[in-house]
Amino acid sequence: MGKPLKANEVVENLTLLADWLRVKYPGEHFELIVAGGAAMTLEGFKGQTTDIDLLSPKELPDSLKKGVAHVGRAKRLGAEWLNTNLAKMLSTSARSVKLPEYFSEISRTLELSDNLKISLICRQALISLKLYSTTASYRKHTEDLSNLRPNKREITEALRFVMSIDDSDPRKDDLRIVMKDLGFDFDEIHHSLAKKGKPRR
Amino acid sequence: MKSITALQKKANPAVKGAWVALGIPFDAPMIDEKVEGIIDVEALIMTTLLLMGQDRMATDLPAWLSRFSGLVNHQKLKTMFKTMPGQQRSGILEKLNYSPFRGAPKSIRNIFSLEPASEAVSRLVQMRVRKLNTIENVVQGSIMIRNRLQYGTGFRADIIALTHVKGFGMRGTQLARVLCTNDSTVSRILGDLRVCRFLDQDNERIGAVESYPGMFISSQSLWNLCEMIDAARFSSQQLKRGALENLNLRHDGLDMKVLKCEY
Repeated sequence: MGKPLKANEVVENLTLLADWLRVKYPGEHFELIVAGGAAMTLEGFKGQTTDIDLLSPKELPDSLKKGVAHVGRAKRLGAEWLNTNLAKMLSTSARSVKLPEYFSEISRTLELSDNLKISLICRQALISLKLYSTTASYRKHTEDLSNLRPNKREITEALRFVMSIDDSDPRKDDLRIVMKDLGFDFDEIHHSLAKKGKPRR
Repeated sequence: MKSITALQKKANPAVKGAWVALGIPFDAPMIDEKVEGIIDVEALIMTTLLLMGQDRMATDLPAWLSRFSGLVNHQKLKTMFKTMPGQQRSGILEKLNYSPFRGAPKSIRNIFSLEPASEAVSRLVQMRVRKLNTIENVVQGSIMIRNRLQYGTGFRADIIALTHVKGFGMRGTQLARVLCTNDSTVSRILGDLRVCRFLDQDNERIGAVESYPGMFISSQSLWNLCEMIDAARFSSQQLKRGALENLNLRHDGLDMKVLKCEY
């Protein structure tokens, strides 16, 4: 677990990464799509994050891997302060599922330097991914989701996404508890989804 | 390190001093290998090319290579050049294309894919050859050159040279990395040297030998210099500091000296 990073520290660390890449890989340009807690922190939905989750690239190229290691050492950050765990998780768990189109929507782009651009995933994708990550026993993601203050339409879409990947009974039990905490009735929304049609696979 | 020019300025006297030991008459105090450490010939050549400016080095290095090309391990030189980071390699090539270094012998030019120099430049380089120290004096200053004359210009001679460094830790992989060759070559040579009882089972020399304190210039010096050049290019002080803190100075007296000048 890395040390918590505030929004300005996320930007500062990525700017250091850009500086490292500029010197070591001159002329190359890098684009990252940021999701998870880092995107929430940069959008002002939470105060700090422990790491920067990427949705793209799915696998860090060698240049980025080396840069992440160097910046991590220079700033004494955890080894995975910037990682593709989320992208990997999506490509394994949701292998047979076509991601909804809004996953390619970008809410904001930050040009941190001439060689590094970061884009933040859109609000709906943030909510859907957070609902997918929540469990009844681990409050962190539920709190993040609560900070996003999703409305019923957004939570319904998020539930559709989660059910498309995993509609097992244990998952439904978890979601029932989490959604109740957030002020939503899982069964009502799930029922309405079922009426509209089976979850997209 | 504040800039690349500052780095060149700090490293140049020691690099020139190393060349004095190998026979180029620079106005710099000679590096005494028995005090400062062993000078790896190919690492010195590559370090020189990396730092070379528009001074006498540009004519005297090809002159030295003309005179002593038979004592240069071409394979090692080639591996060092190919293993360097791309931008440093391009920087060297750009420099050499417009330098009297093209007056070096064909076998050396081939490593860098260089065209031959003009006749005038070749003549100038040949004139500088006459200024070099005699081979008899060079063998007094360089254990690697001496060993190459004894055992042939190959990795065997260099490995035997490194057996003079007490506590070098003659592990095959480490030696292979320092000498820019592969593990199998090193382990074959170490095996031979153990069989003829030149080395013991721990790869240490049997019997009393003249002792050297370490390596003054090795391939590690070259990699460290590349890192230091990059460090000078970082805008962030944290990255600069991080890069310098991560240098491996174990077989690198040169950069230790350069860093001491800095701080």
